[in-house]
Amino acid sequence: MFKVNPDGMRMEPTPERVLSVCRLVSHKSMSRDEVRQCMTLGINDEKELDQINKSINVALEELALIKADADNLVLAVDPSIIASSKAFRRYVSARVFSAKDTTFHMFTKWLIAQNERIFALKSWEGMAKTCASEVKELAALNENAVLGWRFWAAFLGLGYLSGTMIIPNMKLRLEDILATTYTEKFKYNETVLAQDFILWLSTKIPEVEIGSNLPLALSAGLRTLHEIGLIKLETWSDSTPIMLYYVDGDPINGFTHISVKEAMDS
Amino acid sequence: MKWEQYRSVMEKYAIKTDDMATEDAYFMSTHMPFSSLELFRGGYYEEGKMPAPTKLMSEDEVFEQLIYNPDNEHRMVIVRGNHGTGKSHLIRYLKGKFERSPSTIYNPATEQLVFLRRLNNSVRGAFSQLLEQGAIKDPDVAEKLRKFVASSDSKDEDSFKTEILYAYIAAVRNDMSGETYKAVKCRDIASYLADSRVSEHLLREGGAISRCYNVITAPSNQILQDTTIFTEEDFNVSKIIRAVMKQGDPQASLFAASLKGDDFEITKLINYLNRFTREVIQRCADISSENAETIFAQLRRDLKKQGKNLTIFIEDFTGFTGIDQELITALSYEHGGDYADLCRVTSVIGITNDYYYAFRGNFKDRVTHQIEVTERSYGTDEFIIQMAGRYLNAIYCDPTQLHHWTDSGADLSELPISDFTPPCEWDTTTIGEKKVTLYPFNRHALLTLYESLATKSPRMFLKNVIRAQLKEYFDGKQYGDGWYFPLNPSNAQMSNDPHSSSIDRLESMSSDDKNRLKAVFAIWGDGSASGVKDIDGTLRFGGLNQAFLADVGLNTFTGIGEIVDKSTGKAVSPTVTSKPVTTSGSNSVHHPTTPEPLKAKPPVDGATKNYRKFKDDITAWFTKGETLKYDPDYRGWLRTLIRGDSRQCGAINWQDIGIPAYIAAERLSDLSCYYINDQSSPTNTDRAIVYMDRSSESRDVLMALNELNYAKGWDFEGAAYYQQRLITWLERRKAEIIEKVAATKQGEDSLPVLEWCLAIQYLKACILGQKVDTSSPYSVIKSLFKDFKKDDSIRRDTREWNDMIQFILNRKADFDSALTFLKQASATTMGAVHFAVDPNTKSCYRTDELVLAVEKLMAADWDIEATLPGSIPQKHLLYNPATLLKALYPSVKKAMVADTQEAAKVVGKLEEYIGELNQKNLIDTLSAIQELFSVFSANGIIGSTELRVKYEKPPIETAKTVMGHVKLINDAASVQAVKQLTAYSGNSLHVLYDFLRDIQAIAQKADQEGAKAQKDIAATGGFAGAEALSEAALSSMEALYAQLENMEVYENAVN
Repeated sequence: MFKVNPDGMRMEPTPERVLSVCRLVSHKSMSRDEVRQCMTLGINDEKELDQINKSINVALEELALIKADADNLVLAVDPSIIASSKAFRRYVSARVFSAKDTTFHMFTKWLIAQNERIFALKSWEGMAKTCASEVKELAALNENAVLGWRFWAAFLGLGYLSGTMIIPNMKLRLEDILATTYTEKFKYNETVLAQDFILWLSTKIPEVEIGSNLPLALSAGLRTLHEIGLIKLETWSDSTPIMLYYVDGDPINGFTHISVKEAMDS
Repeated sequence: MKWEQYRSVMEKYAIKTDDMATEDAYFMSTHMPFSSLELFRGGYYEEGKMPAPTKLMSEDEVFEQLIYNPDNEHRMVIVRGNHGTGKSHLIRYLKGKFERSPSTIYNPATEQLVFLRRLNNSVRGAFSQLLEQGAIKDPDVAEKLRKFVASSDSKDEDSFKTEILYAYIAAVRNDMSGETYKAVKCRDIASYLADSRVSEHLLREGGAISRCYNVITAPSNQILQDTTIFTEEDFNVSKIIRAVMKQGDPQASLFAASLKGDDFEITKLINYLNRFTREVIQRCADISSENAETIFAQLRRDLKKQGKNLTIFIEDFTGFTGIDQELITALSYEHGGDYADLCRVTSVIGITNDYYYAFRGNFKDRVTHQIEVTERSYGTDEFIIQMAGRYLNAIYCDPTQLHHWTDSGADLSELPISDFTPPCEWDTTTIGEKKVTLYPFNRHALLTLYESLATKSPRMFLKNVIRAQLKEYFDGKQYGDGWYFPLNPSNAQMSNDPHSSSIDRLESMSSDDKNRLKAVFAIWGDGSASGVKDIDGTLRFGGLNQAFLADVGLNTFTGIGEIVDKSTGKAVSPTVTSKPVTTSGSNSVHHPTTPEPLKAKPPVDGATKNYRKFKDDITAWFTKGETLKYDPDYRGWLRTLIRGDSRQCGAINWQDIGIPAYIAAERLSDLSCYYINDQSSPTNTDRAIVYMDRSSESRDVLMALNELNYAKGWDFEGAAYYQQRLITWLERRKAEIIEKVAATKQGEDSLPVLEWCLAIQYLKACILGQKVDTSSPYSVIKSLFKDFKKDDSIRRDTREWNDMIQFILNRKADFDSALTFLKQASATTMGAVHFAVDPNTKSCYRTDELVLAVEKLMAADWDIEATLPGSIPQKHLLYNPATLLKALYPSVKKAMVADTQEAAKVVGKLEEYIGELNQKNLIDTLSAIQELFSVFSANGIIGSTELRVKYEKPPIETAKTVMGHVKLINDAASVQAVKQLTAYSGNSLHVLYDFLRDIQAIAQKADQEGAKAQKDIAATGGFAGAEALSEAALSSMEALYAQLENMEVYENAVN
């Protein structure tokens, strides 16, 4: 799923399975075969074994959440990281998006840059084909890979699954960043310049290419966070605004200042 | 601006609030020439079977070919049309033109012109005008009508009504025709009508006599048909009928009895009385049918004598009720021949289509021409716009100027044009060569508002559009606050839903102003609120100049989203836009205001119809507070959004937040989980997991889902906007939805449902005597994922244990559900895949959770009764396992008490045979049994083969088995119930009972055979050969017997 391109990004290693593998190993270190036996309850069916094998691979090789200790697999991270799905997501998120040479990262970046264009592609297959034809490095991308990508994309907060489409909205992804790293640079509840904020944010979301107008997914995320009161976007007349992706009818299409509420940290 | 004057002119002159005739100045200045008037020859056509018109004519062609009558042809022209189509207007125009014609066309010396206007549509009004116009030459008739008009004016309403009632009674009493009722019955009816109770009811407000009174005296648009006056409500009143039967005079009582409960008789009476209406009106006016007919006949005779002809215009014939038939007859006689004493008559009679079809028999052979005013005469866009322009100009004009213009001959080219100046360039229309403003309407608004009329006619357009909207506009301008302009009676909506929604979200405007603004954009504008800044700096929203918005009190609106600056081609922020710009100087229109409404509508398919239907429903729900009609569809959409279905994932990643897909799917499957405020489907709101209030956000969510459903994806205009609204709505409610689905408050531990299900499986396995491998948590889980069945070969020795088995059988569905839950809720299926997963197919599980649960259960020796929730909701997916456990644990405890007692009993009985249950005693006993079977065999005694085989193995083996079960039972005696259940599950009690039963059987057999052997010895006495053998056998048997005796076989065998 998070291998260096090219990667088939198969559907089998879902976030739920990878987390379950980690928790199982954390509870009691065991061999790869024992993990398989445990999680399939002894079923030696190829499909189920494949699901576990691939999930182990993601946890072991791609995310380094577990490691091999002699013949056994053991947890490689602080147990608190797998204590909750939120902690797990935030840890994985930081790791996944920092690796820019993965198929996952490259496809994510392409998709976010498409903005509304993806709606016309209508299906996962359509997205895969179009991306494959437009991005040389992703020429081998197929529908299965995008089907696998969508679960992690939704899990990591890039959007919301709806039919054969993802609604681009990085609300959750932004929330994770703002909850974990915002105070490294800014303080909660204090108003900061939109320019400064975006400059800082751009270092945290390498999957987003930030130009003159923010892409739809990022804009939608900011709008949603604003609507539900976790951030406040303001437009002051004497400052240059950061323009959001224009959505006809939406009252917020730009902002000069932002304040992130402390409630974000809860 | 002269707002008060404008309103006053409008209401008093231009578009009057009553039906009185309009002044000439306003009539002439607002008259719109009719075209495409449909001409038919002859008088009789069936409704709906009208042939194609002979030709289409303009009003001037009608005048030239039908009114101008140089050859003195007999003409009776009726002008037909529905209410408000402009019949009167056309007739008045024709009359005016005739009146103003040169003497070659109209010479007052040779032509008598009679014009009967449409005054109040009452009989009194019609009679009054006949008198005023000098049309009644017979002095007796004139006097009678004069008296009638005067009396209907002066009489008080009650006495006039009484007079009408008695006119009916008299007509009935005098009916000797016998056509409907025999004369004697007519007198009964008259008595019945005269009964005070019946009279009072007929005279009541809104009753039959009130209706007749209105027809005679009051303004009314009613058509007097035979069935109009008396209705069922006047007679089908059982209380009155019963009272008259009991207390009325004999004749009235007799007739009342015939009415009682007989609908046919009541209908017959109604129809009968309605026939007398004309007679009653004539009676009230004190004129006879013959008198009425002579009104015009006499006029025509007199005119003939004077060498004159008659041209008569009757604006609306409806007012002549009562004498209409007679008047038509008098006008229909063609001069010459038998009627050489009558002058030529050209009559032009306005009549509604309803009236015409009701009385077409009267016209059949009399009418020479019919002119029908239809929508094609007035329904064109240009007609509507020009008509509006003329009325607006008349309203804005100085009345003095208009009167002067009329007095000067009303030449259209000289028509005064108002000095009204709109606040910005605006749509105009032309009257002749002159431009007149349409302000505050524009072309789009006029046509849209006309299209929205339920009855599309000039009158309705003038009253319900021009006058109604202008009134609010003038009020707003005059009083400045509390604007109601524009009205939006048809609830027209902006076609750009995102913009409409965005206006709803504006915090700077009141709710009323938002609705006004949306109406302006929907009706006046292009359906959007898109902002454009012209090169000259003019701001337009939805195609409308901002100055117009400011003029109607919507100056706080500064746009939504980007405003395109035409000078740079770039978008600018609304905040940097300027204040309203008014155009000075040129009044030219640089920008066509808005597109014309779509006239040609393409055919729509079912999906489109549904899409529109849903949209209208959602809009009415939000804007008009109506009940949602199609909420099951919307709630289905919400379900797909939140839960997903077999084809797609939901928008909440349930697994990712620790809620198994199975739980989410099951908890959110029933539509009753979704509740929308004011939905039409009844539901229990307490069960709702997803609640939708009536708000603009909810409206947008439903709109978004409608669009999504229709487009079958997100590829539609405004998708990004709707997604934003949808996700924001979802995020606002997500925490609450999740809490309800998981039945757990945020921050609390989730319900240990998997633990409960594992416990259920464990208890079930124990009760059914199935083996659970408890060597490791993993092996336990593997064991408990089986569907345990009852094994009929396993017999239990207490009623209580069998009751537990029966409990499992009785609650099979609950136990099965627990197993399904266990398997599905721990499976790592994702999204839509979950829906396709059979619980019995292989899967990949979150074993980490199962292991933790099993470890906890093992630590508690599977007894978690004390940890079950105190209060458990009924029939709740997540609580059902706890409910089952709560019922199961007491049964287990009860059974364990019984089994412990039973175990003590069987051990005690075994000890009676064997002594203390230890290995030595058991081996001795078992050895003795083997020896006994050897003796039986040696002596040819047939014993139980089954028992012999059962105990032929080394005694030590059997002894160990028995000792094992005894130990299990002894150990379990002092532990808690579930542990006892585990101990007893292997059925030790039954094994010991079996052993006891075997011992008892063997002892009994030994007893029997011992007794028999003694008997045989005694019987055979002197048989020497056999004696030695017998004695040897006997010796052996006695030894055994003694041993058995020691075991107190006798006593126990008896027992």
